Amino acid sequence: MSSQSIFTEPRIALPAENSAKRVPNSVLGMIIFVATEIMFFAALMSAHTIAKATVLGGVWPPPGQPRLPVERTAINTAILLLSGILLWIGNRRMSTKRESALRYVAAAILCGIAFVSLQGVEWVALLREGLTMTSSNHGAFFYLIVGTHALHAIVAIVALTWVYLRMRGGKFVPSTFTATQVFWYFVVVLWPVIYLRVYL
Amino acid sequence: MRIRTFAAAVALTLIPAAGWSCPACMVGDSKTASTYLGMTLIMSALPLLLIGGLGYWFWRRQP
Repeated sequence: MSSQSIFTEPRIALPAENSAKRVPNSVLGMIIFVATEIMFFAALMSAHTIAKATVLGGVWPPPGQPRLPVERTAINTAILLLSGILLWIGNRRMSTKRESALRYVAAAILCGIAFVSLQGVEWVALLREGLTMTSSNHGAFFYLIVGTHALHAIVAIVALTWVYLRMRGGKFVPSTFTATQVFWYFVVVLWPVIYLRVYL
Repeated sequence: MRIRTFAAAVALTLIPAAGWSCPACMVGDSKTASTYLGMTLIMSALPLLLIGGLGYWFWRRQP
């Protein structure tokens, strides 16, 4: 067989039902990546839970350390969950109502930006109140866990914005959009767990 | 002397309460023990659930 024939051979076409079930490489890669991220955050949460349980005196947060803003963060949590719902609706409409779907995706991105911005405002307030990485275990775990999540949220927002701009420019790649959604849903679903464990 | 040391070490294993002095455990009470146990179970089960879930998903999607 000559090398030319390799490139001129027609591709083997899978039956339609099989190709519909195929998982794109980008989506599979993202799912595996998210699985490793789940383990990463589980390790952080595990260390935090043990530190909380073994604190001397049994008082958490430690005396003299500021309390975390539970109510404000509850609103922020709702904003992030709303972002996930908007993205899900946008995905549902993508095949039928493209313009409407794009608006939903844009709204999801804006909610994500609002979440990260409010987190930033919260951090500034906590730093002013004396909660730092070195002030106590409480501060160290707070900034490590919440900061790592915020970093993931920022990366996901950048990815979603890039996909959105490509879609607006008429370059819609369904697998890329799905992979980005997987990452965003991970960021959204992880947050309530962090909120329940770290804030409450 | 060695036999006495060995006997003392064996005797210590019969007193679980002495194990509470573990420097990594910080506080030796039932709450700490249950937290360690719970986290060990979660951290052991989570990768199995993730890999199992992914495998099950592939199995469901096979043509």
